[in-house]
Amino acid sequence: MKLLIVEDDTYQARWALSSLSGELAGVTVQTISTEYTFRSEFEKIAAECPQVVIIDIMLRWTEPTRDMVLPPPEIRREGAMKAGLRCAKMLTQDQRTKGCFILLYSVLDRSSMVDDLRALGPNVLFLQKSVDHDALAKTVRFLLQLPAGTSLGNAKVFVVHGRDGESRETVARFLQRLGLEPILLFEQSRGGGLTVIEKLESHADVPCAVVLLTPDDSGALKGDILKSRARQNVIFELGYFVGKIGRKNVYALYKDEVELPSDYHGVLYIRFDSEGAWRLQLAGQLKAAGLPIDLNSVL
Amino acid sequence: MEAISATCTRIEQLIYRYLLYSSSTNFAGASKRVVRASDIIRSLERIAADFRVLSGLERGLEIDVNDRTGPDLRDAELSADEVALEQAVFNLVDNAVKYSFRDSKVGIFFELSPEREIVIRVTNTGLAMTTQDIEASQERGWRSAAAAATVASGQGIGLWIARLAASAHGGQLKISPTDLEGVTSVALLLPLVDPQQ
Repeated sequence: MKLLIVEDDTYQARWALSSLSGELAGVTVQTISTEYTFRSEFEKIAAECPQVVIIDIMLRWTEPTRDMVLPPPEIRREGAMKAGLRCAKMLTQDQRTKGCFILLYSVLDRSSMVDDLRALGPNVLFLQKSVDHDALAKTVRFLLQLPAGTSLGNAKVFVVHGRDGESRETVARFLQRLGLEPILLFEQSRGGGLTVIEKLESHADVPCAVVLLTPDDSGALKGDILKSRARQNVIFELGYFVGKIGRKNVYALYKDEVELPSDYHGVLYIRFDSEGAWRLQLAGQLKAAGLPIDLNSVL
Repeated sequence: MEAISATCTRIEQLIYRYLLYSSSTNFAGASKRVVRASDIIRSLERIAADFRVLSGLERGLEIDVNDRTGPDLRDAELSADEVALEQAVFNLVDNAVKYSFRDSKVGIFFELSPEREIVIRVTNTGLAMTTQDIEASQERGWRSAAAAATVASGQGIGLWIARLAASAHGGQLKISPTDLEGVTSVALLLPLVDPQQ
């Protein structure tokens, strides 16, 4: 089994490797530090077909050397900010490597490249770089244990949310720590003239959905005292996913103040408590749904 | 860890100064005080030590500080904003390190010019600077094609900030084109305080 790391920062590569040391028994590791080397050695990479490829997105083209080759005009136009995406594209387009699990590991904001990520297909995951590389280690462990040929489409979880950005980010980060890719509708492309429902449909091919019920709205029966409720779009999307993937695969995280929608029996409601007990409950449900999660990573 | 911490502090100060500059042109004038040459040499030593740890060792670079002024200049004084000056030198060394060939030398020289200016000169052997490059480098944000190909994250403001700091000290930034031996030299020239005044 082989792991390829494409990272131009030697220290980052070393730290990442040290954080992965517990996951790499029997795994051969190769490190490449420039886009030029990646392209030059692509035939060899493709022939060996690594199980997992970790790619930094912002990569330099080459090292400064006396005989360095400058990038061709089209690469110069796109620049270093898309270097890792170009490398990932080469892997996904080659018959020998299209089944590799590719982990784009970057400090860049995922929302700035959603179209590129979608075009790369389901076996390309994005993970935000973090100082402790903890999520990286967990994700690589998850990918290394998958049988070759597995589609990573299963590793995505749709997150339905309202206006509470902090809660949304907390849940998204937690899912990433579990090695899953949260799909947030607001991060998806606004282009292509898609309506909200069309965008929802185009991203709804997921095994599970997490619905955040946060008190963003007020509402009541006519004449009653107003109560805190989730946004109407949240309730709509909750119903959409219950219909689409089944109520057992929809998990509603609710804040204390929010009024829970009635008549959704069978949907699991988990209290989104400040102590964080929801994490273990949610992870347990996701594991029970068949997603390969190491529950130790929650603790 | 100290090198990382020092670099973070420099970046923080740079951001502060950049913000300051965006609202006025007083980049380095507000915090000037009389500084001894020996203090500047110590600052150069610190910068060199940080770069050895941060990237020099990794790429087999030798980074040395050479004091060519002699002991008589140690007490010489200049009016300087130490933070701005250190930032300027840091930028010059950063460029020299980033664009050097592996296993080459980066020199930091502390000299006195015939016009009695302090000269902080940084030399390296790496990507070449032509006279056209030097002309183009006056522009904020300029990066040569080779520089952009070898360092992904540069913004092309290092030389511009160094030039700004030099001029705020009544001095100048002087870049010499790469010589036949492949050495590029970039120098900050800073006037001494006249002891008669």
